[in-house]
Amino acid sequence: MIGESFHDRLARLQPRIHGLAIGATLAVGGSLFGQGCPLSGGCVACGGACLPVRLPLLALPLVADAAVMLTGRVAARLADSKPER
Amino acid sequence: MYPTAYRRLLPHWARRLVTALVGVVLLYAPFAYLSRAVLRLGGQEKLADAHTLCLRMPIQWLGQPWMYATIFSNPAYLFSVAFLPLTALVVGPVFCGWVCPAGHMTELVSRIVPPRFQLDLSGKVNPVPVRYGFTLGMMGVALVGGNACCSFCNFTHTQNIISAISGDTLGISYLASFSVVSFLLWFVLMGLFTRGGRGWCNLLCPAGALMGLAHKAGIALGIARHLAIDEQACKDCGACVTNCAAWAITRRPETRPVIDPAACTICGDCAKGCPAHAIHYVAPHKPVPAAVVAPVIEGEQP
Repeated sequence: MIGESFHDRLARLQPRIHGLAIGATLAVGGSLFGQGCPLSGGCVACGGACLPVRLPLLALPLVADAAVMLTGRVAARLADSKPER
Repeated sequence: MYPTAYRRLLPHWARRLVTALVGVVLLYAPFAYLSRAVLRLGGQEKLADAHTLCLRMPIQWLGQPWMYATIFSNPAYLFSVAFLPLTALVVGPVFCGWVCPAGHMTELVSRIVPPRFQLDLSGKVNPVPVRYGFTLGMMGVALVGGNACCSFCNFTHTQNIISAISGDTLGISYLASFSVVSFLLWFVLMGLFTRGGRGWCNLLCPAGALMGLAHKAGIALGIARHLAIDEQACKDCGACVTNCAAWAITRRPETRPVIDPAACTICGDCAKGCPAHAIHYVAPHKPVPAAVVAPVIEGEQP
């Protein structure tokens, strides 16, 4: 681990971050249905009033996952393009 | 070729079945003796069922600091956030591997489906981050007024179905909710058709996530009994990987199989099924082979 570059570390962590994002998305997505809705009637009961809050929350783990992945790729590309001394 | 050591494992499975039946008697209505005792401890005189010692809701409340007073006001809520993790800290998640009726039910029924029809994710998928992500997502959605724990509750399916069959209104409303989808996922896809039958536990059980975390902390602190592989005795045959329903053991080319304490349920199937008798449930003071405490999850596949 010592001397590990930033993009190597990100690449190593990527599968875990994917897993975290998948799990979080499942939890938030499942909360939109049936018993998961506090009104106990599914999405229609509140006329979709909760969606402006929950849909961004649903996207949050996926966006975070994509951001980490992109950061890793950019860091790797920058490291590759750095001239050797 | 599953299980690889059927004859060795059968008596062990029989013992686990007995303790799982004890779990049914302790937690499920009409018995629910442990739930009744906890209710009595809290001075409450109501009927006990599978909902009494909810394994999920108090964990969801951990993300809501204003609910802490509620958690500490009722011994029933402390079961999943305090009692089970503290147990796991010292002896590992034995509740998952030996007592939990929901986990044992799917594990049991998965044995009746021929392995060739089942998904084999053992050693291929790392369930720990998904389970942590699910737990964090469950806490997060509660912050904005949502509730993910009831949608994904596998603990009360059996009771709800029996209630619905008997004509109970709540049980019938259950049949018209998302819980039916989660039942199919839990029992059919991740139970019957997943090797080991513990797909739901491995990926979506917040109580298991908390206990796994406690078990890992217990090993790091040197106070937890845990399953350890004797590297000298291990023949690297892979039987433990095949037998592990928790997907906690992975093989790597450069090392012997490694056990991830965050996923292990201390069921002992790996130890009993090991032809070389190389896996032991060791005391915390005993020196642990380096491979056992090394984190399994490094992003590489075995």
